[in-house]
Amino acid sequence: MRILVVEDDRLNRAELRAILARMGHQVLLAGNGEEGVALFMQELPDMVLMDVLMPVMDGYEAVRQIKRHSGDVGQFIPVIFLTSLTDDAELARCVEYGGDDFLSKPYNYTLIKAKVDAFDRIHALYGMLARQKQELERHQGKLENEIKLARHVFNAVISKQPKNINCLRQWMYPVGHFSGDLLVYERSPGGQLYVMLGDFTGHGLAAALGAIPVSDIFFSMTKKGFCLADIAAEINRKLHYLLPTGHFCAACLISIDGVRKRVEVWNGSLPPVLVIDAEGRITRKILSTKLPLGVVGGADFDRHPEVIPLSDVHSLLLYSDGLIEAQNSSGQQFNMTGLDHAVHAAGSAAAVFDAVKDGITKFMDGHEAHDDISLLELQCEGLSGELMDGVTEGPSGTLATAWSLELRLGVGTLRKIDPLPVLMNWLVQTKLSEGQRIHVYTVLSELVNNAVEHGLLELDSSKKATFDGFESYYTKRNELLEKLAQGHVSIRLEQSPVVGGRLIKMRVEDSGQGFDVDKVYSMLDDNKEKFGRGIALARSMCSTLVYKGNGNTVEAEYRG
Amino acid sequence: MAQVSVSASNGEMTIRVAGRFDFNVHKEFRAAYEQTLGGGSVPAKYIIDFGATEYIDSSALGMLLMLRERAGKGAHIVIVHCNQEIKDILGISNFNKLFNIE
Repeated sequence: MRILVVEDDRLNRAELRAILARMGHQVLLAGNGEEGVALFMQELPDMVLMDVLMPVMDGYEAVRQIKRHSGDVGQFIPVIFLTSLTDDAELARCVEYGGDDFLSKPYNYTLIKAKVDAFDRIHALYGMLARQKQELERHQGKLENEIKLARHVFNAVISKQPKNINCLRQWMYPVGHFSGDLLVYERSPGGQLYVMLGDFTGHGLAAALGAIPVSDIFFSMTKKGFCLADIAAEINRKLHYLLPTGHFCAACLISIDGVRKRVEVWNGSLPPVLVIDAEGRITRKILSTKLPLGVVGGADFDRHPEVIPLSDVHSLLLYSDGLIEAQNSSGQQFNMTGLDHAVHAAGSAAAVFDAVKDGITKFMDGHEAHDDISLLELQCEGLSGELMDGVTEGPSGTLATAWSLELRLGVGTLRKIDPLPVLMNWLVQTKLSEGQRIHVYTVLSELVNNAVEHGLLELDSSKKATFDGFESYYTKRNELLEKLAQGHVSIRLEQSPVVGGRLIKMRVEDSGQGFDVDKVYSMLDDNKEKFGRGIALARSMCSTLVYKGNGNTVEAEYRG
Repeated sequence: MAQVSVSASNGEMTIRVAGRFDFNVHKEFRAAYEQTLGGGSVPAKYIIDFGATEYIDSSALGMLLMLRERAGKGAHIVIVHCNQEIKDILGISNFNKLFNIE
């Protein structure tokens, strides 16, 4: 240590210098308070030994100045008074002026060594604290930079989503620097809206890290026309592979299909999704039936969403568990009951969103949330119209070229691969306008699904007529497809340039038994039910649509 | 702050979490399930006793998954004495597909 000794008596000074030097310290000497303060400022020693009674400036004043200065430079520099005083009041005065301890004269080597060593330890402790504080500040700065970086990347990823969808309302209340909740939505090439609300374990950076690959997969697969089940499975696969055990994402994926008039909901560990009717009543709660994303890999993952007819849904209300677990100042939770009451109090579907938002805000009454809160309302009926409004109709402006392609898919392939995204990707490349693309996609998907469901699997679509039937129909579909031993579906597409645009011929053939073609036609002409509407829809978009053979081949022509 | 306690007998390990089971106890919980039985053997059965647990959050679910990984495929994990709130949270997350909940 570097120790400053301030002492007017030359003999005492020399003695102290010898003692301290023997202990291995470096010694600085001053003859009075004023010199002592000056030397202190210049050298900033590690410790000061200060005589009390000196000419020019006494020890009290010198210590007052020294302590003020060492406070300014943010260091603890111990000061020990050297005194022959024995009066208690005088000794107390030493401490009052900022002294940390005192040593009595005459000097005793053992005592001096003990005191100096003790302050050496305290001095070292302060040094360590100061270094740790610096280190903490450095880490804090680094962390803030990294959060800035993550937020930048995160914003870039989610900025791809379409703006201004009127029938989608959202409210997010993050706890950390940014939310552990992720809300993304995007339109598919087939004209559906895909929405995902995810809630990652943890908040801030840890959560955002997972959100980046998830939203990337969500956007790219949605734009390529993959179905909801495939998107859920791919996100699950990626998270299972990327995240360490114990980290996962509770999520709900939803597709709203205004063309086929149906809603798909895949709920993996988010609280129940509320189905609201036009009067604002909760008609159903879609419970989570799946594990969160990223928990189990591969074959254990249940990818199949629930399918609900659009006509049964006025709007859907989604929220993260932060909403029902939010607490008020007396520690009570908002709960499902609080949510039910808030919805009930709204009185109409249009008022539900604000009623819930106001309800939770009033309930918390400024009390800090301990989990991110997200609330999302999808007005399904309105959305299905809005999705089609923005679509550009008419010719694409580029000259159509001639091409054809043919796919033949066996049962094994159909179980694993949905052919529609593959075909859609191709159609995107051919520069169809958005309106044309939606039409062709709709026709193709109806024809292909029909070939699989009715041609190969011989499912009875009248089962779809009831609410529960709609779901069991799709469960049955997947079961039958798993069991089917053989069969195939062939798809042929051919485009030729014609005056004013293009002609796309579609031909879908299945290896099934076929059916009575005339009966289908008569059903198409007067069917207003929920089922069998797919083919009627496809036919309305085509210039011709005819069944051939024993009903297992269909040919359609689309002009655009 | 929650308390994690652990006891073992006949090749079974029982872990109890008293209070709130959240991220604050992750070190204690991990230390508990990483213990080996006498002779260095790994338990064949884990009993997670939530009898004195008030609340679990998503990081607790994460810790259960870590225990499941540590226990390996052959091991048996039973979660017992859940209050209704904890049952609901385990239910929403469909953890009954991964754990035996009594």
